Amino acid sequence: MSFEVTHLVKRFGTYAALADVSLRVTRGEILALLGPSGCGKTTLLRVLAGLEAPDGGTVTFDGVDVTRTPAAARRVGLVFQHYALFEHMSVFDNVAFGLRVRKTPPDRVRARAGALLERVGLASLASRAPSQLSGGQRQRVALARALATEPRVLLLDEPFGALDARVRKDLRGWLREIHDEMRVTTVLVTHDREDAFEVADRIAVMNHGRIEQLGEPAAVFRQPSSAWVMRFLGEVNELPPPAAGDQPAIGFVRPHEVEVSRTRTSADSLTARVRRVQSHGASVRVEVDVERAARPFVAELDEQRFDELQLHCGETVFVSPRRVRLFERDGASGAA
Amino acid sequence: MIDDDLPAGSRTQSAVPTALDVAVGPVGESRFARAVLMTLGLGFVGIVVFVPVLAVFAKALENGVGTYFSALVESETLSAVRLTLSTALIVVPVNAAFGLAAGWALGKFDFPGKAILLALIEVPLAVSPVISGLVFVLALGPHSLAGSWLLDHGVRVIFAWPGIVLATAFVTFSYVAREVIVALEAGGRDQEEAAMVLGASGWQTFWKVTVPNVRWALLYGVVLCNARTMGEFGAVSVVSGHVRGETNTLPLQVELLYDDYRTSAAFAVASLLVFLAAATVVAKALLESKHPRKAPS
Repeated sequence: MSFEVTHLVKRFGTYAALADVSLRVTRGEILALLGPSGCGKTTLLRVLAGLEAPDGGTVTFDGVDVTRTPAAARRVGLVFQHYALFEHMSVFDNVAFGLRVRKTPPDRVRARAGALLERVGLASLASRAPSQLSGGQRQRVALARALATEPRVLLLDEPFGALDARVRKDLRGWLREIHDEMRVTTVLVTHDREDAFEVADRIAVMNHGRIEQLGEPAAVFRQPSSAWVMRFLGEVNELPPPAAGDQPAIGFVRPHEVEVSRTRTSADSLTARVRRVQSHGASVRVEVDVERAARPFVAELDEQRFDELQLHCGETVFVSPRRVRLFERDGASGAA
Repeated sequence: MIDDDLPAGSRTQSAVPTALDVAVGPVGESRFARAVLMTLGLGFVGIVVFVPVLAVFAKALENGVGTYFSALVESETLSAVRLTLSTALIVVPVNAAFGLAAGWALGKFDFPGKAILLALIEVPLAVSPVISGLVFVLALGPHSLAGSWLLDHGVRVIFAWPGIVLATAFVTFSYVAREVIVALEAGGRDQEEAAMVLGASGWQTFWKVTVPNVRWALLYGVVLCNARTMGEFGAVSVVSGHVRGETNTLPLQVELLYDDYRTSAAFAVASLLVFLAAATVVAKALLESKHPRKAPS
């Protein structure tokens, strides 16, 4: 199913959680709503689920206006951040719940819930209580429960938020796999860039109740639409202002796009002094104090380049950005 | 398939300290300090609880077991037992139903005036039971408008069992509601929302998700409510009229016997209430051990 929201507005008191959000999601894709906490991404998800009524704007599913349709009648699947499993029911009863409240015949309930538990690899734990499961297992129960009713759209609220790094990584790959098999239109809310970049077909970067940028992961990363998005999507170095003249623009360079050398290689080269060297295995982070720059630069070198240079703290080097992105100096988008 | 099956203990979900962390607390107080504190604590419990309970049984049995049992089977005592039990039979289910409904409304929804309603639910606990009883006498007594109208239609409320039921219900109506509110607030709304998104109606959500989740709190509230219902003295004393063998509940019967200088019989009847208290404490402990009241996670 495809869906569209237009000019959504949702206020909590004087605070606008959604300030005019319009968005179109095509059939079968995974869209990630990425943003810092309080940016409105969860509110948008709840409006889609029907748990929150917008103050303005519309939600349409396949062209049908569902803005005022109650949650129970929307046929969406929602996986809550903390899963919200029914603690007093077995794993099987959790997955069967949505089918049973819709008066599905018992043999169909058994078949469908059984097949889903099989698919998420929890068939052997069907009679367990949720409290007896690990975090990753609970997450999979929540997903199976949401998928049981064949939802038209699957909504995931920080699905990996409560898990540790290794489980998180595995589940991301697994979720993508399940999605490629079932092709349910999916919206994923996350504050974690890796979640979004690894799983989603498209990313909507949100801030202050608005969508700052919408696009495919690679495009969003390569061409951030604002200084705020640039900062939010990864570590940045802010170029020092030119020696003279006014400064209408602000220049950023990513750590892996900073070249470090012992000689001045170009006119853009900046004089710097090595402050700290930190090895991360395959890459080495070098912190340098750059003349006139407000904050130290971080350069990310591969092992080979670092071995060639043999940098030591206190040495004077030259850094030159391989790629600079310029943004208008804008007070509003200044906060990262 | 992924192999992420962590043992339950290593779950990363709760960053908040668990009850265990808190319970352990700092150790290393001196043995002396511990001994003093324990002596003080146990000594206080001994003086305030143990000695009086012992005294009840000592007094009740001072004229022998025969007298003790004959005091219990007197017709006035039996009628007091009947009245107390039938009052509880009406009051406890009514208050359980009311408490669940009020607890649900207050624990799950935000609406204007919520704080006022919450405060109102606590009123019976804050007001002296005698005052509560008196309010019913003023409102429904023979000299009140409503009371005289009811009397004209053949319904006696005050100085009869309906008054006793009303006063008792008023005095005990906070217990279930309070427990249920705490449990519902701790549980949050996620499970209800999950049920609704899965297609459950409000009715289905309430019975299949909300009620099962608070069943232990509900039961706990019912136990407390029952104990207070059977033991209530002040409010019932005001509305009962003390008609021998008719409008005396167990606690009133104890007073009556005592005033008649039948100390031993009075304490025999009082021992019934002690047994009720003991049963309540045991039920409470069982409920708590089975389902410790947990902080919101």
